[in-house]
Amino acid sequence: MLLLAGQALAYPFMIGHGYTACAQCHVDPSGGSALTEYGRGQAEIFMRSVYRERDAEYEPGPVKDFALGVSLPEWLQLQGDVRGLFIPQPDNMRFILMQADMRGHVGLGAFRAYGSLGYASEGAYGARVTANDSGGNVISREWWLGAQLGKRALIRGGRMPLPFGIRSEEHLLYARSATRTDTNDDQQVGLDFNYGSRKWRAELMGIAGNFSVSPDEFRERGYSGFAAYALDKQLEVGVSSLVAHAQSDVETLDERLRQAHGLFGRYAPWEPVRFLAEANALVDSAGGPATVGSVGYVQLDVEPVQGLHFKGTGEWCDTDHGDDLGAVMRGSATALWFFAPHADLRLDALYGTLFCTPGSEPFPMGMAQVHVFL
Amino acid sequence: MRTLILALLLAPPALAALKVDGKPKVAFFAVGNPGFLDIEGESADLACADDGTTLTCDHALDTLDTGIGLRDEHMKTKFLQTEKHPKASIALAKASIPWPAEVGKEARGSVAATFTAHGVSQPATVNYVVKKSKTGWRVTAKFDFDISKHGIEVPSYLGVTVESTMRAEVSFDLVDAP
Amino acid sequence: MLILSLAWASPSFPAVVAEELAMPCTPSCILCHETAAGGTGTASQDFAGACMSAGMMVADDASMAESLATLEAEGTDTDGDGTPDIEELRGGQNPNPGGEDFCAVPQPQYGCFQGSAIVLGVVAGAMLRRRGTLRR
Repeated sequence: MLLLAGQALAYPFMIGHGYTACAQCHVDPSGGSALTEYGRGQAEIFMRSVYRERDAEYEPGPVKDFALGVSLPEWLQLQGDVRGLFIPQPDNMRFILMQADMRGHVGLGAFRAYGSLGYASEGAYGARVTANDSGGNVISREWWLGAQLGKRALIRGGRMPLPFGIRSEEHLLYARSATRTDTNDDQQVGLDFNYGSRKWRAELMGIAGNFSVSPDEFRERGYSGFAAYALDKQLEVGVSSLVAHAQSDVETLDERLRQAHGLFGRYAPWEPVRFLAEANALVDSAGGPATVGSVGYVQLDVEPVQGLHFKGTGEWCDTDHGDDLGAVMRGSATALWFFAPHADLRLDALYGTLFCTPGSEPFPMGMAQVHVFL
Repeated sequence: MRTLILALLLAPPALAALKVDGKPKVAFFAVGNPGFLDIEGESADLACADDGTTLTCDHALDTLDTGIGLRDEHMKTKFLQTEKHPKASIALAKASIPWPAEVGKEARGSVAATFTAHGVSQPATVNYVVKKSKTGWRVTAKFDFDISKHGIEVPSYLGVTVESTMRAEVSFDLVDAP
Repeated sequence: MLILSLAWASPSFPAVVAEELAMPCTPSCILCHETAAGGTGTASQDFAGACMSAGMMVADDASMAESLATLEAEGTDTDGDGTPDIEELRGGQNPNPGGEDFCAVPQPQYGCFQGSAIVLGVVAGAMLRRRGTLRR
């Protein structure tokens, strides 16, 4: 019962431009949050399509700023995001308002505060502030207070995405849903330590639970973390680990200890060509003996002209290698076009199952998304 | 962005004149904060000359490439001011390096040098490895420098400020000049 | 526009059923699916088949509500225990053969204010009582 309702964005394909880390462009050092001033500048310089030649001294100008021209003080970052999803159905075109979030970050000296507040017409269960089962809800995906420890470390407390694997804008990946590490509504409350240097980036979070879920027996406790090393400006490899326990799991309603441990990598052999890959072992004890499964994907992202991406993704997920159901597989083709300042359009064609549900029959899916941010 | 460069060393036992052979590799590294922005500039330009006692290597700063055109433009026009200060150079005493004479043997250590950038000279400590090859010497070296001591403005762009201490690294082959 | 046909999950169905039938709790996805995780292609419970026969379509809340009305009018009894499906659901029971009753085990509630609703209610009630006392 998860589903569809926007997400914070992170674009790991930026490794093609030599950016292995995320902290320059996002207020969350692991990415997927509001953009910094530098990130807004890079979005204009590198990410969107340009329709006439730029000279060498091109500067992004005020169009990069909040609301396309509001210059904010250095200590304040604001960002509004709206994302709509169109799904063709036999008799109609279904529309889902995936995201309508306002995000704000304040940095005063070593102290930082960040939060988001938005509205979801459906879904986003795990991020709900209000409890309207039959309609829209106010949601808050993230909120935290933090303190810089020198230049390289940040300690935070609050609600954050779980640090695990490759954080990306790929909302539907099995690797995210099966490990519950999506940036849509899988955030949890906890204490988090983040470290970054020229070659290393790492994050470890102690999980205290998702306080949008009640009663307390449904909240998970454990840890999640990753460490990644940049072998080169275009090559990064990393490891992830997650262990979480709940007295009563929100899906199985049984006591559950779930673990995920894996590897990931990003490689750009040539600036417009990027490979992303992730493979994780899933160890699950839910009301019985532990099962061992796996989940992962390989993705090729090609950007033939600036701003226009074509992606091919192959995924697998098997929750239990010991059963007869086998793995579910999914293949997808994506076109992603950053067609204007602060705006992008995405088309997906997929064949497979929507979630990691071995035994389910594959089927074709298609969808279109429009995203605008201020 | 910013900066500069390097180069290096040597002096054979006979103190013959030396020159760079093949394609040298010159690189500098800088870090921007917040966010640990990793900046690397690369070039294949390096020319070395010696007068019998001092080995001086020059690098043409205009050849530096950070991979981002706009960044290169900022670096060269606003910070390095390459029209006015086109070269960075490093000079050291040839005799301060123990040149290995046997092929395959190497010497490593650190040596005092003078690094000049933006028209300002400052002392620098160069860490080197010199390995004797069939035709000459393979040299790799690196040193740190502070651009603020060279009168170069510390770059700051869109909220990211570059650390003033940077690192230069170079690798190249030296042979006897004809 | 896209031309691909599409099947899609129906995450709002449990809430629709709970609201339409004034259930004492929101049923989990095992009302229709193999597991509480739901998932496309796993709606294999007998009650899912009954709903589809009564006109329910994937991801269409209105069709779900209409199928419930149809099942009630027809008195459908999927598990054959003598109690019609809709009556069982109104009592928080599972209309599938051998199914565990939904409201017998705690279900997760979503929304930060869910857990604090009781506290807020108590506080609000106390304030109203105090106002009433002052007026007297």
